[in-house]
Amino acid sequence: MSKRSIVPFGPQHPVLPEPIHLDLVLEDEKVVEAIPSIGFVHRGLEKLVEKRNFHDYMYVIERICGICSFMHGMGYAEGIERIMDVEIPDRAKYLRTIWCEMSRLHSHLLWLGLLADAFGFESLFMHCWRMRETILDMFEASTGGRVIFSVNKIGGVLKDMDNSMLRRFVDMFDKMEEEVRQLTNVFLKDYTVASRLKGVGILTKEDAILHGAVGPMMRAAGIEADTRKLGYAAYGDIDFDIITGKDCDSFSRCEVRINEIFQSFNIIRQAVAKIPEGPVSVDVKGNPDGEAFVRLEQPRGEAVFYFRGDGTQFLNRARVRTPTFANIPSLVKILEGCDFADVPILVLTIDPCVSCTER
Amino acid sequence: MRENYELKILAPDQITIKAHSLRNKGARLSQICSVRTKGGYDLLYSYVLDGLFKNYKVSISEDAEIESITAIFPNAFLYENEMSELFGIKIKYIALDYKNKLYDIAVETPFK
Repeated sequence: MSKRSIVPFGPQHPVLPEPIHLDLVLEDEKVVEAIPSIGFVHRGLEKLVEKRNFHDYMYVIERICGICSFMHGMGYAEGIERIMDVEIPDRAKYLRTIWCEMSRLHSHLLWLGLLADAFGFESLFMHCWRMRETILDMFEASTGGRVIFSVNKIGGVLKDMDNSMLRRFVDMFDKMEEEVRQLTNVFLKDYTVASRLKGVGILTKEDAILHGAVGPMMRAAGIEADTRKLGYAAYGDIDFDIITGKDCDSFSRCEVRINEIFQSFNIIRQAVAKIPEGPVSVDVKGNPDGEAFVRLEQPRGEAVFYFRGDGTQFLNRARVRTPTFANIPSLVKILEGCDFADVPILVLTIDPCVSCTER
Repeated sequence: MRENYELKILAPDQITIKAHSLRNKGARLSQICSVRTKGGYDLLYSYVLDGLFKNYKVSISEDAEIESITAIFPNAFLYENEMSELFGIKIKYIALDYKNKLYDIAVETPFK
């Protein structure tokens, strides 16, 4: 009979840029159960909404995460705009869409770099992050920030991108696309990558629904779900298909994210071609009184925002259900029955963002 | 374009019945959260069924105890432990109960 042992994984581990802990119950080299623990970086940012003016809270909510900071700010803005029935100018909607896709690009390139690093492909890791730096340079040029952008406001955006900057960005993305294709070919065609990812960490369509998976985790299981199709910001004017995988394994998750990189290039090109002239914000008067849900597609998947105000300058509640929080049960599911040696890669394939998870 | 979602009121004793019904239809549990109200809490259960975002608001008193839905939706354990630890909501039969140690933060919880 196999001997059972419990091996702690994390909170500090070479594949984890942020702390999360798993108690892995092993039978020989097989994981039979995984129990997750979080709480190493909980900051109580949701609670802080009770003590910050609702305009100022924008600068708190975008600090939930250093990768999705733009989208956290945007989710907050869209929620409060919904409660206050504010319609933002069309140009602001397009600018939000462009910055959203730039966030997805740099997030997916960051993840590919981490995956390459986990395989021991150091040069590949550095190339992925070198390209990500170019996108951060674009963020800096357009917003003034590389991590925290502070460009969203209730009623639109604070900064505009002139048309020459937009055209320059498109030229840069055109050049980058070819380079990204060469890089991603390594992930899709290399024997070592395939042998570590194919057939490993299967999450079936049924399990993905049952365990509440979101984003590339869910789409890799063959489920066509992408909240961008709801048409928020300018996505309603953009033509794109939902990218799904078919094999439900770690390789599928990698493939979905790679295809989403090229999809983001395409969405940005469409948005730049269609962006109308005009103002980028409207004045907002009064305080939010009511409640609203907003769903956004962040790089890691569906984020759910809920806000409730009572007519004062302080909100009663700000709730952000981040995608990694939703994907932890699916991680637990794919770890059951896996080889112990595959645990680090499987943890990476959910693209964990612990800052988001803890808030 | 803004999403047209559903927000309905649900009685506390209907939480598990509704969860069962939605699970049988193939829904995904999207999130659960709580909001402090005067004398109690509002619990918000969100599901996605065929792309539609369906939300249910359950109002409970401060000392009320509700039943876990982890037997129906296993992913509810994180949401329920979070509500239990940070808001002090009493939930029975959570499949993986962290006993107020999910976040295990240095300050006293639940926050009042």
